[in-house]
Amino acid sequence: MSSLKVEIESCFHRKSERLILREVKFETTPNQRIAFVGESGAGKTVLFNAVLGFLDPAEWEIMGSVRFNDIELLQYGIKEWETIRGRQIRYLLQNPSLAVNPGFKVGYQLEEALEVASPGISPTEVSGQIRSMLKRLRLDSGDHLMSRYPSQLSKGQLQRLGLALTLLAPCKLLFVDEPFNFLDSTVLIDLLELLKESQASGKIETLVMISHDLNIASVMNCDQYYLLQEGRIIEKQESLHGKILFRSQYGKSLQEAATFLRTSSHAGKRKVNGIGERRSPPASDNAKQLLVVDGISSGYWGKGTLFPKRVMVIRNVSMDLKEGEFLGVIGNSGEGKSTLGLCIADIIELFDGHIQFGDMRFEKGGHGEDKKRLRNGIHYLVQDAASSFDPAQRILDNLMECAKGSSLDLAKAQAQISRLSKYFLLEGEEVQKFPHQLSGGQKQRCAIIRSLLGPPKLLIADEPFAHLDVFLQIRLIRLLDVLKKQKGCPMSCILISHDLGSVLGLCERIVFIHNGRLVGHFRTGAEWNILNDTIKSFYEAARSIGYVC
Amino acid sequence: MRTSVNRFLLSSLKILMLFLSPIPLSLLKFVPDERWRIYLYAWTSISLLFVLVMSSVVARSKLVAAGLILLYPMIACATVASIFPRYFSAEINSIFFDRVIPPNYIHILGTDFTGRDILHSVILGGGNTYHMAFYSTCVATILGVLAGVLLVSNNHIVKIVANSLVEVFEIFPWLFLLILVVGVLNMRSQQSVFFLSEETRTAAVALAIGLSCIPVIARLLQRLIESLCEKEFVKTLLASGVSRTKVFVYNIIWKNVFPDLLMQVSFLFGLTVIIDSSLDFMMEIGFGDYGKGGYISWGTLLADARQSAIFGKDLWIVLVPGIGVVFTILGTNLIGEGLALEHKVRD
Amino acid sequence: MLKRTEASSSYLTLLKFICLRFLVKTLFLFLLTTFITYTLLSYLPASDNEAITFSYADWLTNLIETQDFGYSDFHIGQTVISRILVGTRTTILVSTITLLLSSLIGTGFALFLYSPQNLLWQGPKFRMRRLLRIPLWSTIYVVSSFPVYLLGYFLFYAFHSDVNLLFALLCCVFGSGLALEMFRNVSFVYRSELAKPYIQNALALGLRTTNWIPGVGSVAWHAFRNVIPIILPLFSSKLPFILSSVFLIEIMFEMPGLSDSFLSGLLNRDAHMVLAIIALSVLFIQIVSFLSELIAFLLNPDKSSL
Repeated sequence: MSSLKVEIESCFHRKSERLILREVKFETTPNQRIAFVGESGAGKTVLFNAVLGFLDPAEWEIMGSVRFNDIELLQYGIKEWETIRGRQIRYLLQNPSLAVNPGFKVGYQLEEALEVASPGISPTEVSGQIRSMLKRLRLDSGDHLMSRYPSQLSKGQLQRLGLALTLLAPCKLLFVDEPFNFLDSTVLIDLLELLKESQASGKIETLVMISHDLNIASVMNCDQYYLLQEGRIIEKQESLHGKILFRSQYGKSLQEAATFLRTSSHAGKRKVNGIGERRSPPASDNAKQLLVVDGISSGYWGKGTLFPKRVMVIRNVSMDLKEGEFLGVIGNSGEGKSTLGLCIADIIELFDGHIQFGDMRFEKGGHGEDKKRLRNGIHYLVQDAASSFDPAQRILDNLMECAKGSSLDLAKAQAQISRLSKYFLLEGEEVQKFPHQLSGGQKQRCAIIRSLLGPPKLLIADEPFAHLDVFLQIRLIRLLDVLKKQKGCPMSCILISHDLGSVLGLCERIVFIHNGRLVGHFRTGAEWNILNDTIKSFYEAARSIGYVC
Repeated sequence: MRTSVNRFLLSSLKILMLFLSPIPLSLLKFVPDERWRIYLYAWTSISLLFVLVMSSVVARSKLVAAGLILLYPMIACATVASIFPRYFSAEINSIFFDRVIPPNYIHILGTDFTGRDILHSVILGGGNTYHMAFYSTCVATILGVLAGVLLVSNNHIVKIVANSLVEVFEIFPWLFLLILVVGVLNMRSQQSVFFLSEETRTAAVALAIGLSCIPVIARLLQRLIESLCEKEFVKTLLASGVSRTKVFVYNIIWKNVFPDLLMQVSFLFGLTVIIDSSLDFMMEIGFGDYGKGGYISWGTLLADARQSAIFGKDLWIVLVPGIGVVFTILGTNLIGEGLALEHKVRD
Repeated sequence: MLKRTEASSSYLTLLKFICLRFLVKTLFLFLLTTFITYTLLSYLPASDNEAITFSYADWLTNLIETQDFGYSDFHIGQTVISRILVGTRTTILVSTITLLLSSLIGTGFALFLYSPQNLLWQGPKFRMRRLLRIPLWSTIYVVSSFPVYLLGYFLFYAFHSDVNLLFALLCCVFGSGLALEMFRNVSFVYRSELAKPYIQNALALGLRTTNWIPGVGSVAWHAFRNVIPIILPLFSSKLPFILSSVFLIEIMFEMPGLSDSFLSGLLNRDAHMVLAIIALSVLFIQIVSFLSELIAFLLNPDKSSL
């Protein structure tokens, strides 16, 4: 039976001269489940890194004590840590699909992970445990998988493999650092159930997790919830019937925001700060047809023997969009939803079919002048905002360059930028910084601002809610709503996501993409007649977190 | 803390300036000995310029400043040799034969085996080496950037042609190519087929060295541009309607490739100094008088000084050009590292 | 849901393609370099007899028919091969050893200085390693900034005529900045691998970090395994440079090698000799680069990328 006692007085970052953590004190008992919730920047990951010894003493100054079974972890040396890390304390990182080493075979990595954690284990035990874990995580086991390299697996399989690496071996203390953003919904549900099972069976003694999403944290039914704000533990609560009743003002507003996001997809009213609002009416049926996509196929140029050859990602996709209508595109990662968006926005080549935007028609290899008008009307919000800025220029210059390219009035663009950055709670000088000086969430907001300059007739948003906190998500939802209801030039939007729940509240229609083909087309608010297994799994995942009732 | 150290350095540099500059140039005409007058003119003007450059650099990067200090001898030699060309070349036909004199008052650094004044031949040789390295670097950079840009073009035929050209110069060992070029040139001039002026020789050798150094720049450019084109921001800019040429020239080349290119060019300068001095060394040893044509550079001086190294006496003959070469190479490498560090810090 | 079909058939085709590409490239480069040499040689001034009496096509057909580089123009009656055989062996031996040595030294230093222990920052050894970094780096730096012949001078001065192969190799290794460039390249690639997220995961899984030598079951091996396919082609691309330095060294230390045959060939207008030496060097370089590319391909798990 092990226990962890953390009493960190202060954790100071020397370079930026900021106090990141203040008086964080908590204790774990065996068979307990703890969750740390809070917004990004509150210091949750720093707390974990401090406890696990990943912080550089030259950059960080930590005062306090971390005692694990009466061992002072802050004073531990490298050799001693090797007896603890991996064997008694394990750590599930943020992006499990990146946790897999692309240079080794799958079987080798799994066996190594198990042998390091439990030395002296027999080979039959090893293969038995690996097989059961792979079956539990729904990776098709057998010799095929074990002798493959990670580059030959699909993205969903990679995510499951990353989870398997950490969750294979038993441990006393497991730290889970919000992997939820980077997992498909089905994988997420499997992970949550696996965590609950492992703790029930005694494989994991104590579970400590981080989440910025209160909905997921409450699904986990933890014993204690610690609310962190700006490095300080504000409150400690237990959950009741799946709801965490925070008492502090901040906690209450956080809980309300989470509830709003969850229930806004339900049919009926939406409450915003106590004021009931009618759900925005769908686009009227006599609205103009904005976009018609007919039988398009797209992909990329892969490496052929002498010359590059075409690799098809999406095949024969057809859909349409009216003015002022929001469409949701749901699919697992790597199945082609981003490719669809890129193709419509004319960022990648169209291999087949045609696209009709307004009164312009585009086929394979269209004219340059028309393409320019196409680009002015459609804006694309990229999935990975971090690398979508020129690293050698300031953010403001980046934005103005895009505005110039879209032939916008520069003064108006400047005014829009300042207005939008105030709306998204960005300080004035943050727009003047270089991309590497901003955090992920700030860059995401800047990317949103860039795609909303104009405003465009059609916005294709690829995972717009990634890296955003609840309050900012609500702001974005409100802004999209306002733009949708604009008289004269209502904005349409295609929302691409791997999570059904986050787009249900906004979109009138939802399409599903599986293996590059369109497999389902539904209207929200109406009864869904689901026949396809994949769509069913999405629906079930959204239901278990509470997005669908 | 950092700013106070910088301020200290700046003030000490100002004192140095004060130390170096108080002799107004007009006062120099009172120096009796013509030789000393020329030396002091040269030294003062170069040092003033140098200190001015240094004071703006030293605050930003210590490595670059250290590199510039090490490069000072070569730049000084080159500038002096071009300010006073007749003076230093005239001195070569010295009346002293076969007498090796250690450093003394008349000949500041002594004389070598053929009786030349070492200081003068080092200055002249430094000028020649610098010019050769500079022109080779220019040729290599210009042609290399062109080749690099062609290597990433979308047209497959252009790519294959550019690739094969760059690979030929990657494969051909530079020494073989250069010996062939210089050997053929010298042998033709020896047989009086045509007169080999120094300009022709410099041009031909610089072209040859530049050609064999093309792959360094071309591959760097290819690697950088390919990795940048993969990045998201290029797709985003193109999607916003910025023209392809503008994205390529402004965003990719000017803003992102240029700093890395600058760093590589400073490494390339050191490399060309090595190549050039090795070539001259080899020509002296391999071809002896047959390949010289009266051309002096640090490489030839070092080859002449072989006797002193082998027998271990009169070591100053080897020391001076040797130190010059080492300092130059170290200096350019340090400048390159300093630029790399600044670039990485910004990342 | 697997992305690729059966691996083995595409594997073989890729292998065949690599061999084919190598053969085509070698042929093309061979022709081009020998043609350039021939053009340069044709400008040699004639003495009592014509400098070059044969045309390029003649030389090529002779090569294809008899697999021989012809008879020497100067040493009449002897084949070129017989005159340069011993020299070829010495040069190839010295070049290979230099390549291996400088690669090992560069890689070793890079692994030592940037070992994954630096990612963990605990213990007294880390501080020592941090302090050791600067003097070690500067020593390699300064020593590699000496051109090859200067190092040779120092050795001459220190040991007079008691010089043998080992010192020649030392010169080659450090001279011309070779070990330094290897060190720089390997450390750059190694550091960027260590910054990747799967290394963080490997640390969290509890893999060994106490040694800097990548052994099985250590974090260093996880990173190094992915570094090898990237740096192998880099190493072999330095071979032309090494050949030039070996040339210089052979002349300085008066070792029997290709260098004096080359120089005497040029002086005596022995075109066959010069062409043969260039051809042999190009073939040698190509074979070494093919071997390294093959090993990198075999080690590269992503078999689809060439």
